[in-house]
Amino acid sequence: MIAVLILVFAAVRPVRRAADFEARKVRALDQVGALRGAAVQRRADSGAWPTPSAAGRIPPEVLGAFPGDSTLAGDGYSIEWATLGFVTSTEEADTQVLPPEAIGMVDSLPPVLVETIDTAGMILVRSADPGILAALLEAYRGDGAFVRDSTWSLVVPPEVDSGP
Amino acid sequence: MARKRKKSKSKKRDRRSKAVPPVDDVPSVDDEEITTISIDDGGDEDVEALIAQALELGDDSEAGGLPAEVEAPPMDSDASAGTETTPEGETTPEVEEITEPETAPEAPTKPETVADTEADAAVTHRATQPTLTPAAAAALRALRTEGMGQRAAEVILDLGDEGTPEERDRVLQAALAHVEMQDAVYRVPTTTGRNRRIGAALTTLVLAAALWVAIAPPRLLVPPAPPTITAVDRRDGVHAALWLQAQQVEAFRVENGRLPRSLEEVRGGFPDLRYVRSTTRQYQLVAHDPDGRAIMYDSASPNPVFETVAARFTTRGVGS
Repeated sequence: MIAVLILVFAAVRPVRRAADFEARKVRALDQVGALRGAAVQRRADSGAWPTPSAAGRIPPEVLGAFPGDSTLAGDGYSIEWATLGFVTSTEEADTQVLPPEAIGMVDSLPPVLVETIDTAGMILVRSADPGILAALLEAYRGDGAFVRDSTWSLVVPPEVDSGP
Repeated sequence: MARKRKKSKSKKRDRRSKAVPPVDDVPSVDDEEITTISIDDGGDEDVEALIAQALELGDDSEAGGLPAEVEAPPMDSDASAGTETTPEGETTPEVEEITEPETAPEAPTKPETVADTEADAAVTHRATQPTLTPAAAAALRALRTEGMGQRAAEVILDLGDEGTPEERDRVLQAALAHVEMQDAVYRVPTTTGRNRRIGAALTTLVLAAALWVAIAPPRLLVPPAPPTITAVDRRDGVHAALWLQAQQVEAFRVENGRLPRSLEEVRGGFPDLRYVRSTTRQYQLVAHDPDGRAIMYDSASPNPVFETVAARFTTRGVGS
C-alpha cells in the first residue's frame, strides 16, 4: 500500500508542479495585461501615466482594472509600475534672421537640434522564479520587454494601443 | 421423564464466512439434552495438520509415550474411580475411555497437573502455529473414540437427563476442547509463505517503479518544461538596461542643464550599474553580463549594439 502511494506521488508530483506553474504564469500574464491596458487607457484619457507605485501595490488611478484584487502580486512574484523619461531629439530650422554681413556668405543657418523629454511607462515583475520571467519574456518578446537579473521589464510607449 | 431439548451453539468466529450444515449422523435427539458445538469448515492444510496432531497425540498416548500431564484430562479427576453409576443405575463407560488408567494412571489424582497443563496451554496460545494443549488433545481423543472426533461442522453432544456429573464434566471437557481447536484453527496465518513471497515481489516492483518515476520519469509523465531565459536574453537585458539608464541621464541633463553627479539624482534608476562622469558633457555606464564581462555605454560614442536595442523602444515613438 505504501509502495503504491509512493508510486502515485512520484507520478503526480511533476504534473502537479507543472499545473501550479501554469496557474501562476496565467495569473501573472493576466495582471500584466490588465495593468498595461489600464495604464495606456489612462494615458489616452488624461494624458498622464498612472502614478508610479511600489512593488505589489496597484496605482490608485487604475484600481478599477483589478476588481477583487488588493495587490499586484502573486505566488512568488510582485508587479511594480514605474515611468521613464525619454529624450526625443528633433532638428528644426533656425528661424533667426541672418545678419546683414552674413547675407551672401551662407544661404541659411544650420538646423537646430531640439531635445524634448517624453515619458513612457514601465511594468516590472520581480520574481525569483526564472520560469515566470521567461514566460513573460516569451509573451511580450518584441514589445519592448527584457529580463535582467530577477526582474522582467516591459516598456510601454505612450502611443501604444490599449489593446492586448 | 420430562423431556427437554436444549441447543446451544458455541461462539462462531468464522472469518471464512462459511456456515456448514450439521452432520447427518447425529444421534437421535429425542429424550435427550443436546449440546451442539459448531465447527467451521476448514479444508485448509493447517487444519488437517491440526487434526493429525490431535490424532497423533492419541496414538502416542496409547503407546504410552506421552507424559502423564499431557494425557490427563484435567477435569476427570473425579472419574478416577472408573465406571460410575448414575442415579438411575446406568453405567457410564465413557469415563473409563477418557481416563484410560493403563495409559495415564496418575493423571486424574494430580491437581497440579491441571495447572501445568493450563500453563502449557497459555504458551501454546501465544504460538502462531495451530497446536492443541494436551488436555484438549486428550478430550479430542476421547471424542474420536466415541466416533464424534471427526471434523464435523457441528459436534452434537448428547446429554440425557440421566447424565451423571462425571458425564457432564466429560461433555464440558469435550466442548472446551472443540473451542480450543477452533481457536487453534483461527490462529493459522492466512498468508502463506508463497503469498508473502508474491507480495514482497510486488512491493519491490512497485517501489522500483516509484524510484524510476521519481528519478527519471518517462516522457509520458513529464509535462512540457517551462521556458527558460537564455544567455542571449540576459545579455540583451543588460544592454537594454544600460540604454534606458542612459536615457534617464539624458533626461536629467535636458531638464537641469547638467549631468547628474550620481545615479541617485536620476529618476528611475536600474540597480547594479556604475556611472562615471568623464567631462561635463560625457559619461559612461558600466554593467556586467551573466558571465561577468563588463559592458559599457559611452555617451560620446555608443556601441552600435545599442542602436539595435534603442530600435526596440523607439519604433513606437519613444526616444526617437
